[in-house]
Amino acid sequence: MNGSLSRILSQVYRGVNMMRRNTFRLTDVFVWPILYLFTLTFFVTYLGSNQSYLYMIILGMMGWRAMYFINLEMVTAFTEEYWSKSLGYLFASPISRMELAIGSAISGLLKAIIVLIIYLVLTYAIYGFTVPNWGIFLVGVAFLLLAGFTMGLFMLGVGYFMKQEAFNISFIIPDMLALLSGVYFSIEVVYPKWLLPVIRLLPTTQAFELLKSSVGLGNPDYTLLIVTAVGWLAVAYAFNGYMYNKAKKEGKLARLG
Amino acid sequence: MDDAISVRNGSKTYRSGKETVIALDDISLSVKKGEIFGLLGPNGAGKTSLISILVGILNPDSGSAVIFGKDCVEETQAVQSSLNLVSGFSGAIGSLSVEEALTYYAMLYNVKDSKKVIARLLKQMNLYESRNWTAEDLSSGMRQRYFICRGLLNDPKLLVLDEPTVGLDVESAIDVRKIIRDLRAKGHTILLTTHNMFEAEELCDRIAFINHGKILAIGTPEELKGKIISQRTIEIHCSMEKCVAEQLKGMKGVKAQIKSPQIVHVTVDSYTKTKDIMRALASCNGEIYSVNEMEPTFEEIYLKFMNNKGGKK
Repeated sequence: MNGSLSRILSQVYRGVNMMRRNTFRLTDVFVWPILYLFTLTFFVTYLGSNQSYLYMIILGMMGWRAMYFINLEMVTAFTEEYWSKSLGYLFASPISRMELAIGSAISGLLKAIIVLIIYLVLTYAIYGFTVPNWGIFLVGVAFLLLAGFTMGLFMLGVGYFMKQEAFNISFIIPDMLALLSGVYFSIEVVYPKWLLPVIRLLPTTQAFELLKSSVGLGNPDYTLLIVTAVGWLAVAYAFNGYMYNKAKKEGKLARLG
Repeated sequence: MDDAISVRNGSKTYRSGKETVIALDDISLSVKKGEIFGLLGPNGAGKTSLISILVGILNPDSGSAVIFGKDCVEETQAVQSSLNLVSGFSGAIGSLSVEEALTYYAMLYNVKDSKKVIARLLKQMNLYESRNWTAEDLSSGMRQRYFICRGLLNDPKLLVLDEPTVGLDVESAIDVRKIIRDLRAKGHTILLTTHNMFEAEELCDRIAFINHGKILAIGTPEELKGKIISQRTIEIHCSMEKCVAEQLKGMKGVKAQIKSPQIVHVTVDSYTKTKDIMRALASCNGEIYSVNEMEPTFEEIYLKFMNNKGGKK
């Protein structure tokens, strides 16, 4: 096997086995997402909203989970190594910063796929939900996965300096982005006009608009979707590299444990 | 080229608030292939900075560090593939079993036939029966052996051992030292840091004393002793101490002092005086119980170096 591929897969192996052996991480995949799903969908059905709103909530939850798991797994892999005082050893091994990021993101992708399958099965069984347009759905989810990876790169960059604090921030950022991106509502209706141009430049807004458009409730801008996704990814990559090199130069990497 | 490690004019400073801390101050050293090289110095002497540069997680401000011909900054991944690290302060991922964790680490180094390699190492370190335990379940001695297993996964040409016996009981420390000697016998180059002077003297082919970022001296343990000791002390246990002291009095380069009844300490400035001392002993009538050369311990040598040449800034 190619050395780089082996190092990437090492992170997948680690992530999968950590989940298998850790109750908290199992609940993160098999319990919490289901509780959140039903908390929102029960509320919407209680309000007697039409089916489009219910479907928007379900699609929004799916997209948000996809983004969340990629970002969280990237930061968790880093933080767990820090907590177990193995981070210094990890960085002294031949794994590169991008192999670490890609490997842990793939591990997060596996978890995201598990949760999406659970969501699809449960919502079909309870609400008769089926994906309205698989093409739009897959493209929307793919862009949100990319947004999760972008966020993960930012958080790892912060982590080289802030250590476990990056872990705390990594819980806040996806929720902030979800709020600003209007996952469960229309951004035009809720936010003031002056804020909309900023919100539209977030890497997640257009992807959620795309998902919502499949039930007639979103208005995606495809050019902005691509430009923001690629643009933010490039910025995150450069930021991560800059912070890594700075940490290596200033001795922060050597003091990570 | 016989050097496993070659550091030339390596310097590193850190910023600590408004202060600049010199971690390495124009350091140069080389470690030969297949030797155990000790890096000794107090905490904050610069050992960790030097090791961090060698393992590719810290860039020097100036100078170069080369391992087996590869530059630690420019060819980091190639350097990292050729070495491994065992630290007494390292942690282990608690949730994974010993075997799973080693499989994970083997993937980091792209180890071929990793299953076989792991089984062999676990057997070699007497951990095979505990392979399904998590690292949290291991005793400190077993954990250290597990770290050594991890350090040997890629059959490294250079093994960096950072206080490998810290916190271990006597039996486990003896085991670890035996493993280190075996590794040298198999041709591994070993860079060892330790605060245990007995261990350093026993294991190391050569030693560098380091303090305040400077190398104070490099040599074999015997050479280092020779550099700091200009005199030898011989303890004579006999029944005619006064006579012996009197006979040696006035002899050039020799000082005799009665330390206690029946004990004379004789300080000489060279090995050539031994015959004179024996002659003096023979000329006195009485019993000679023992004659011993009082060698300073390596700890005393270390302290002398630190205090004389770099202990005070």
